[in-house]
Amino acid sequence: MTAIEVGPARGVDVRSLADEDVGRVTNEDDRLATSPGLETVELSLFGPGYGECAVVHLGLGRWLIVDSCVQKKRSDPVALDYLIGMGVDPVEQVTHIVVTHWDDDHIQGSAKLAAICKKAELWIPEATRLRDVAALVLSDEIEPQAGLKQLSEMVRTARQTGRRVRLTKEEMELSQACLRSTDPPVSIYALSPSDEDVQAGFRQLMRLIPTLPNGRRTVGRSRHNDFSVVLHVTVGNQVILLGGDREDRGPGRGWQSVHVAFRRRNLNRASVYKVAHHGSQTGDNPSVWTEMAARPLIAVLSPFNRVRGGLPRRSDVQRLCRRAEEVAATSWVEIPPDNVPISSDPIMDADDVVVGESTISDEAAQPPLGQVRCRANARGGRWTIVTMGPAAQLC
Amino acid sequence: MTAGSEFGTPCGDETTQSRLSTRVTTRASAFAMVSVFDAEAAHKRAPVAVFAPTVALLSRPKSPGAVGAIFGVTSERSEASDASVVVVNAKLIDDARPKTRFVSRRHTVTCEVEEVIGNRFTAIYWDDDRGARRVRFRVDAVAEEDRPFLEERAEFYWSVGDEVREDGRKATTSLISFRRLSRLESERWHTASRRAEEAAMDLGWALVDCPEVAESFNRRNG
Repeated sequence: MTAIEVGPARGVDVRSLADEDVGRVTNEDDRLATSPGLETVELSLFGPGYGECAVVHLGLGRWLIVDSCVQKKRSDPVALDYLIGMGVDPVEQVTHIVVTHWDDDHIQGSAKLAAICKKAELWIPEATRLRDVAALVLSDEIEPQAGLKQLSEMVRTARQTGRRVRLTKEEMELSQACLRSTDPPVSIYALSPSDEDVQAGFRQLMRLIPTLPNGRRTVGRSRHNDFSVVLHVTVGNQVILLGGDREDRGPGRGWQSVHVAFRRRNLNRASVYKVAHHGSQTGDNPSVWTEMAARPLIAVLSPFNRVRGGLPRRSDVQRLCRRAEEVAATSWVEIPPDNVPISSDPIMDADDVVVGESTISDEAAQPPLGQVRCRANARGGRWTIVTMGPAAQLC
Repeated sequence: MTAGSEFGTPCGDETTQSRLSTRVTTRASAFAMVSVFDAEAAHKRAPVAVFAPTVALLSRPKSPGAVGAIFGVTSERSEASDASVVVVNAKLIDDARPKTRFVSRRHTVTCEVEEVIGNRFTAIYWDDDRGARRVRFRVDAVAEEDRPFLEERAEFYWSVGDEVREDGRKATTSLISFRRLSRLESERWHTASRRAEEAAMDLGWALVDCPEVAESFNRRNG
């Protein structure tokens, strides 16, 4: 497979740090390690590592963390490494933690994040209060798996310390009055999920919980992107749109419902967009680019490395580069073509596989963690992009 | 102070993940009598220590007779009553008998079902060196209760590894795992639902069933 040839980022300060250095810079002269000024807005996107995490500076030393990921073979959330590395006190300075949805690649380390950021408001998807989901997350009777386990631990930690856990749904404002009245003022709105999204997602989830003849129930694979939260963050005159894993669905759902909520709230267009669903075609909708985005637009994304080469595909990158002036990804190591050819090697028979032979590679060979950092003055002006580790500008 | 020193059991210190089995023998409100078994000799069913009813479980006490495993034991002295309180986090496990353990690192890949034909199916997985690869499985390699999940584009984890059985023999195993809960009786599901309701009240949430979501949606949209 041939990777798309991508040169160094254009006109920006690009420094490559070793994987383990991301968020752990100790050289005070290195300006990548400096925390943003009080009036500086920042969006840092981390990935893929084990998932995706966005960290937003809301001005005045306040931070919002959206989703969580960890580095390979580590359990510490990447966001904590990054903030602590800059001298930020996560207890005092992280004001909000938002879980957009509970897919594995968006929630690893979030329980630890919530435990350490003791003063942060915790926001989780509205779908958690669906009775069958709550039975998994809240009861302590059944051990949930994967992402729901993280969510369960997060809620348990909050309950033990008497903290509130709030549920996020469309048109809900996450920022309190004290944030709105500061200089620069801050507002955080959730633009999804809609009730219909939750209902549709729940129907899919239940379809994967067959009731077996003797009354047993099992939960199968499910994607929870119907539940995914989209956030609209305003700091002063700068606007960031965080697309989560939102995908395009039918009327009243997906990006269409996000667009409706955006118009109802009369929100300003975003100049930085965290591309939804790893840049996939299904995560795309024209209204994002024509109705909710300002010009020039910076689009940032994290790839997803799983079956069949992951996301984004080559055509996705080309599409994104047509729609935004600048596109940066947390990793550009391999951008697979649209139709990944199946190896011409003879088809393997699972019964013949022998451990020790090189017929199966280890999935632990994940791409290393990268970071795309965008900063701008809250009062206005251009954004500066810096890429670290394997991250790079794609156009 | 450690639980081990207080109770004379090999529980380890506060940071050690102990692997003792517990059996809930009585149950009263938030407290439970917990017998501790040595996991290595669990088949003997002889408790090495019995905690008093002052033992508090972080998670709710399981049904009497349930067998669990302690994942971390801590102990602290209450200033108010000067009584020792052992806080354990217990999880139910199916059985406390010694498990088959894997002796070599298991190789796991995520596969996507491509096609199911007769008693065989093919799946695609990603090999970093060779790109997308196709592999063929027997349908009966999938557990019977997982077969409803066996459909085109479904994902599963395929692990291959060595295992050492109880009698010391070594075997190569191939495990197909669809993401799901382990077997669950309906009664337990209802219990979980009831407990979730209680927890939701603490959090100030009102749980909803799917039809209520639909009603809410319809109200909003006239």
